[in-house]
Amino acid sequence: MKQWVIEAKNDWLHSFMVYLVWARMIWLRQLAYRFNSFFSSLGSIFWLAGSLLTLNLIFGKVHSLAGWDWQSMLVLYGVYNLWWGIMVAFFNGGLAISSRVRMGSLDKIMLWPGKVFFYASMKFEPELLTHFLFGLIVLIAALIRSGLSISISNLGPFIILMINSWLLIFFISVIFGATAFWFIENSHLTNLFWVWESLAKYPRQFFIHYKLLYLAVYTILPVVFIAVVPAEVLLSRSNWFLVAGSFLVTLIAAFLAKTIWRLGLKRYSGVSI
Amino acid sequence: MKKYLAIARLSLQEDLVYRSNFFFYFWDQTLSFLVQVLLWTIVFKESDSIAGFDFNGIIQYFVIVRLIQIFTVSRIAYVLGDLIISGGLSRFLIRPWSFFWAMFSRQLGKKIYRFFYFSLVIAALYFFGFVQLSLVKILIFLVMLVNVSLLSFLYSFNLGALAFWATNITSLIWFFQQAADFLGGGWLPASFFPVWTLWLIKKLPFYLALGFPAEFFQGKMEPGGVLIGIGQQLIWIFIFFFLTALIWGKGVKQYEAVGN
Repeated sequence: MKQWVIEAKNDWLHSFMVYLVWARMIWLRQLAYRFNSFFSSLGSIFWLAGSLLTLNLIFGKVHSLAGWDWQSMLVLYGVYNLWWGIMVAFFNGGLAISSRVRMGSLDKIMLWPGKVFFYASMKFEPELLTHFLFGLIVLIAALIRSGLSISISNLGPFIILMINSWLLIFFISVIFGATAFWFIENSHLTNLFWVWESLAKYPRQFFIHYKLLYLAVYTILPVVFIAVVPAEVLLSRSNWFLVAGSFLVTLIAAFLAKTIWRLGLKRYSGVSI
Repeated sequence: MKKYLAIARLSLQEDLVYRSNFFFYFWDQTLSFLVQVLLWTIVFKESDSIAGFDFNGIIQYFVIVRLIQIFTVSRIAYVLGDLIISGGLSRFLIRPWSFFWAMFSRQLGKKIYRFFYFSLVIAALYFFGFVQLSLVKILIFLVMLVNVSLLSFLYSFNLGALAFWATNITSLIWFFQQAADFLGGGWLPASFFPVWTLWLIKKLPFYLALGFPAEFFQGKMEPGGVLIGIGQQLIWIFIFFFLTALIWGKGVKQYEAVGN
């Protein structure tokens, strides 16, 4: 048992060291194309400013949406973008399994020492961190303007819930990506991942008029746990039943991702060059 | 002409190889639209009419916008950018065809099955009484769609050709396409924007490629306005053609590759 623990620990350590080398290479490649990185950041800022403006134009015509006023929507918007920035920079690498399966490049990864599951789904896109920074700025500005008092009692659970939602999205991206073992070309199926995650920026009360969808966003499409539950903790509207549910959902997603990955790997065949 | 038809046919066949993906395409389009419906359902619970739209009007607007996008959005910027960065463009340049028209035919092939989805939704809208259709309206709309396809392809082609100088331009493409979508009315109808911006927005090719045909389809345009709009589309097509010839000509001279 002790030997197994040491081996597993070394395996993960080794995989993490490989990830650091790989991330460094990506970073150097980004530096080679500074013009592109500049536009990536500019694109993020434009997209965020555009969606903020869209929200503002809507709130210019109405006072609240499903009980959420402008200030609380801004907090949710900040939390969602903060989450999204980190997610696309590090955590949605599971989607890349699709192209690795289709192109046969998974072969190469399987030869690397360490965790194949980890390598197949690793991700590093540093230029997308602009999104995170902008989300953080909006969140801080919204919290200051709304006059909400932030203490360790809501900041602590908020940070833990955010880490949990990044893990959740990692496992869900693996589930979507690993469908390529069966469908080979699954680009439109992985597009559904983006459709699904886009629901995370809406308050859970938005779904209340559609009974099936309302049930789904807590269970098979657990999107409310991504940004809404952490935002509610910050706004001191937390429902502790949902907070506990967040961790349970992540555990289930982890189990499903690992199972689908294992089943898929048995089907995989490739002759990459 | 024959060779371009062959390219279009091959492009369609390429898409139909993975039928499960084709199936998910319908789901992807339908569900992403339903997300938009969800948002507007909530917005219109607070007010009956916003910026000249009632709930049915706004849903109809976004259905039309999405259908126009499905049929006309071009990915040539990414394709061309990739070919330039990888050096793969060389093998296309030595072939006996016009690269521009070859890629346009390829896009046309990819749009054929999307047209089925497009026609199906329009037929459903008509059947359930959401839109009023006449033969003249359909013909004018088809003329607009042809113009928009060309406009969108030319805009995207010019963006992709910037890779001759900047090499890696994926983010630049994304930035300009988001800007085009926003200014064109893909995020919100033009009437949501402040009045002082409308004069400029309605002259830009982005609005002419998205908001304008959508508003026409909804019957929000005067006949004179429709003619002026189509005229403006043609002017922009001419300007973009000129730019394409200029950028492509200079870019190919600049291009270097050692391919295999």
